[in-house]
Amino acid sequence: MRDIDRIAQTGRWRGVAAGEKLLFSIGCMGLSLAFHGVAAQGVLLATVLSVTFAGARVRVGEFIGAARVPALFILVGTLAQAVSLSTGPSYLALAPPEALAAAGFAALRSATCVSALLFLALTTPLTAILHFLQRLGLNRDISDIALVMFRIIWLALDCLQSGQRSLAGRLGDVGARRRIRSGGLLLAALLPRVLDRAGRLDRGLAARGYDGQLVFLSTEAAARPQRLGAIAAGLVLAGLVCGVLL
Amino acid sequence: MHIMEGFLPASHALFWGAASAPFVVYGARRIITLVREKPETKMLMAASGAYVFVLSALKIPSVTGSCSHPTGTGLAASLFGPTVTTVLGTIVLLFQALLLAHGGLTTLGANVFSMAIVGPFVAYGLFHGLQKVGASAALAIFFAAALGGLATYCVTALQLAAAFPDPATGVAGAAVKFLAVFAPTQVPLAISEGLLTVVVFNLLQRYSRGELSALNIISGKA
Repeated sequence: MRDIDRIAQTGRWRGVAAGEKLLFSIGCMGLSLAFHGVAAQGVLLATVLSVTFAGARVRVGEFIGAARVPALFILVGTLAQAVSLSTGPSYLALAPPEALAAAGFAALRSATCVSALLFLALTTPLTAILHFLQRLGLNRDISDIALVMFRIIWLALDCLQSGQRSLAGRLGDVGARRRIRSGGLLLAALLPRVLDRAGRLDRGLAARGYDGQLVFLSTEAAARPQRLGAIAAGLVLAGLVCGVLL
Repeated sequence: MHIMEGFLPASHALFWGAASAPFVVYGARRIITLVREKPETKMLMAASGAYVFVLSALKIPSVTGSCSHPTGTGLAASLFGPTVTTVLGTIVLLFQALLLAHGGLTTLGANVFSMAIVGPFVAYGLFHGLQKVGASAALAIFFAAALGGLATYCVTALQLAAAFPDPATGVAGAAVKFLAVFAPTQVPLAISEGLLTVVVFNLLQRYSRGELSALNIISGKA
């Protein structure tokens, strides 16, 4: 988690407007879900990967590292579709060719969409997306909660990880029974700390005249209409190419 | 168990998004009303959301030798109430998609439905239902957490089965397949999560009564 955030915070496209990257990412996902041809998925996957590696200069190793968990789910989900229940002695049989093709296509579509998601995650810090959603009209209270939550998460994770290291040093994670007890102790100790942090934040804000509205500084560039238009035109072009290939 | 980005067809992604929306909107309205009445609960709410996120970051034993992450729905629903947990869970799922690449944006509706709606409501219903029929709090929280986690996993398997029916046996056969494929990790994980939640709940009851009464404000028990 820290890796994805670090890459997004320090990446080449950190300064590019979140709205522009969001439009490209969601646009590619939308096209991927809309088109059913393998060739169309190939074109979209190649487009996303080119922009990610050649444009945003995300390292291949970092991309692969972030893609491990989704890839495992896609693999398991595809294997489940590749077999069919039968009344034979093994109760399982290889699915018919059209079902195998459909499973392969679902895996390819998911790979395209995961790549588009990773493009967004590896180039755009979460706070930038939240600020963008706030500008787009997301309720102020909900977006404030999400932004404060994002900040508290790192502190809570630090507490959790130092607690885990400490427990490991005292062999508190040896065996399933001890691991559950240690995990319980950690979580039970963490809740008062997190709530205490919230209380201190609230008192600090009250001292500075907090009236229910939080103000966050944002260095995000606003999306430029020309660039948004160019991205939209590129997506339309990609859609036309996909349509022709279909 | 998150459904990964792009795994569901567009019609299914839209359907689950529409099915989740009323719950999220209701929960969000409840939070907004609460925050407007008592501005100090905004920080409490954010801290609770961070706690829900961190809950799912803890590794607990799953299958022999391996580790996995709990859903945290049982504990979150019993601490914060199911409607607030739905909104906090939605934010957590969005964070998980963008910080961990677990889940996704197109599958957010489906994941919200299984993890932030069905799981918390099942857990909350069991927790209070079992206590009403005379079960001890520890037993109630164990079943709430374990069965809340299992309900999440069953709904996810059904969502996948509806999207990818088995060629021979249809949605029912596909549901059996997906349940069987993920059962080796999800069933032990649910039991581990139930046990973990009992430990946390007992410790909180014993040492953190002040914090629990503060949380009663947002869970609606106050």
